[in-house]
Amino acid sequence: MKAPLAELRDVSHGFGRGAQRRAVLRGITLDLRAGDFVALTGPSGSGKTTLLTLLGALRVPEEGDLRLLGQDVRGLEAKALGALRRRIGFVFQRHHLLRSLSVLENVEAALHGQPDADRARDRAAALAMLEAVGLGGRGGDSTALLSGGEQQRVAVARALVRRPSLVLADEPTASLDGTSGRAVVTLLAALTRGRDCAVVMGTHDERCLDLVTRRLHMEDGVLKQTEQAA
Amino acid sequence: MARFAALLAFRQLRYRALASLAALAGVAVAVMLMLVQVGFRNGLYDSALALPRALAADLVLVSPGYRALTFSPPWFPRAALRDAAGVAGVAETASLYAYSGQVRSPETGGNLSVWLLGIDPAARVLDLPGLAEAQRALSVPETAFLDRLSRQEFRGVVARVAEAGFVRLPVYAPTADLAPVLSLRGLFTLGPSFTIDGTLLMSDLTLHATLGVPLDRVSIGLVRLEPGVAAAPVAVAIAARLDGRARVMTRADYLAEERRFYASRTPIGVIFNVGLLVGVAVGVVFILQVLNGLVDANLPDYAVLLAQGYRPAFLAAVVAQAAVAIALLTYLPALGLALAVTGAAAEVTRLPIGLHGSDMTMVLALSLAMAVVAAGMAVLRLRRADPLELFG
Repeated sequence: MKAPLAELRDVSHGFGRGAQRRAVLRGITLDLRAGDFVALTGPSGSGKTTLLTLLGALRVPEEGDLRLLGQDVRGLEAKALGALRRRIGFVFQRHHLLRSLSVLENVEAALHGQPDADRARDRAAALAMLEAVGLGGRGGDSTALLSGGEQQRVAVARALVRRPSLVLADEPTASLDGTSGRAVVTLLAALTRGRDCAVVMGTHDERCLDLVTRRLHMEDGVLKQTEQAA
Repeated sequence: MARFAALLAFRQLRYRALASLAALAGVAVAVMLMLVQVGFRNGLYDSALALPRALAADLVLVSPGYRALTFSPPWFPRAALRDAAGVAGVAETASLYAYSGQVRSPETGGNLSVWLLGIDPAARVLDLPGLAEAQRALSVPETAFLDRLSRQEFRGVVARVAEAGFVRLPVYAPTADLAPVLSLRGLFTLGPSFTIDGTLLMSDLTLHATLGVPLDRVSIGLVRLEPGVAAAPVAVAIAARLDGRARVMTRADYLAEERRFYASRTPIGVIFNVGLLVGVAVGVVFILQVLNGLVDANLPDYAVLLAQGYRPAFLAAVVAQAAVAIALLTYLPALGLALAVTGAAAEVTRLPIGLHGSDMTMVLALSLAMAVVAAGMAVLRLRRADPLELFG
């Protein structure tokens, strides 16, 4: 069995101090492995987003151990942190595409920061990824000309174009209608299947749960149950 | 990566061009004002230096209390110039008498400020176009030439001299019972200054007869050297011989001192320099305004880039490139406007107001410096770009 892409051991995190202190995550222990397509469910305030930000190396846990892609995130220098984040893809609830760039440039932007960046190869990869999400031929368009579903598909292309080891999606269907939302998750599942990566998707959307391989449920900062999907 | 930073900076600027139009216009106006200040300052310097530059001298002798040629130069004894003539390497010497005064306009009857210059008509004193052939005519008593580039108050007189070849011009002389009258019988080309409306050239004897100034008191002494003789050692030798009765300078040192005087010792020179600095400060404020708007509008984009692994230094590079783009894009319209303004001002005042290539380069460098300062301040706002804000 391959080493986990993410290892959390008894991770706890909270916000505020003194009487204002609020524990958001309590004693989370979790392994994520290549091939996992995980739905992270739970009510608002249960800690899903905080867990996603820890998995994205955007925070360091207050307690417990967190290893991402084989590295302990605690004490990582800015340069190493940047390199780690380049191996993680994000899809946000709102697409957060760069408005001043075209569709193709948004996807390419994910590649420019790579240490082995190559202009021609990156462009070819970005065009191929746009083709894969059904937006071939729209690369020169402004993102403002796309529908909400199309914008989220561009966001998926941007997250996947550099072949990340870990993909984190935060409510990717929340701002889309049912059909578009399911199409985006279907796409995410299809494009990551067979790749050496894990996907964690925070969601309230019950309609997409049949697409995942594993479901994690959180309540009050505690991982209540982990179930393997059928 | 640098290429992407430049692309992103340009696209973000273009995306917000309309929203930033007023501030971008402010940057252009600030740069235009800087260029105009420099153009006007050139007018001051070039007009004030026109006469010093025209002196036919390798070395210049002035009074120890001398400040600048157009600021009523104190005299020194003509005997000192004779002593200088005896120093080895000196070919010949000449005197210039320079006094400010007033004449009555033959057209309006009002007083006009003039510069009255007296020379020996047989000597080479001023290297001005066409003067060498014409100046013998100054030997006739009461004869004077008028600078054809005098301010427009003299335009009618210049035209009449050019047409009729003769105009009578009363001179205001406080010590005379009757106002002396000069006969303008020719024109020469020098140019007006900020403080003087026009210039009259006459013989030293006519100047003496007109204003009563003694001819043993010289305003500027001119020394020409024998061919191939170095100026500096002769200047040292003359200074030693004069023993403090007059100051001696090489031509280059003299011109530099004149320019320095206007740049740092006169209020008008200081005002132009302060004006330039104010332009820089205003430019920084307007560029900062554009950059702050740019950063605030793109904070989510910057947060996305940080989440993708870009480092804060990359975002700083984007802001710096945007600042440089603002400086470059606003410079060209500012230069066009400044050339139009200085050209119109030169036409109206007949002063040598204008911009040299080195001035344009200097202001472009100042604009880029403004951009760097503004970018340095704007990058502090980048700290607010937080990938955590992207999560719902």
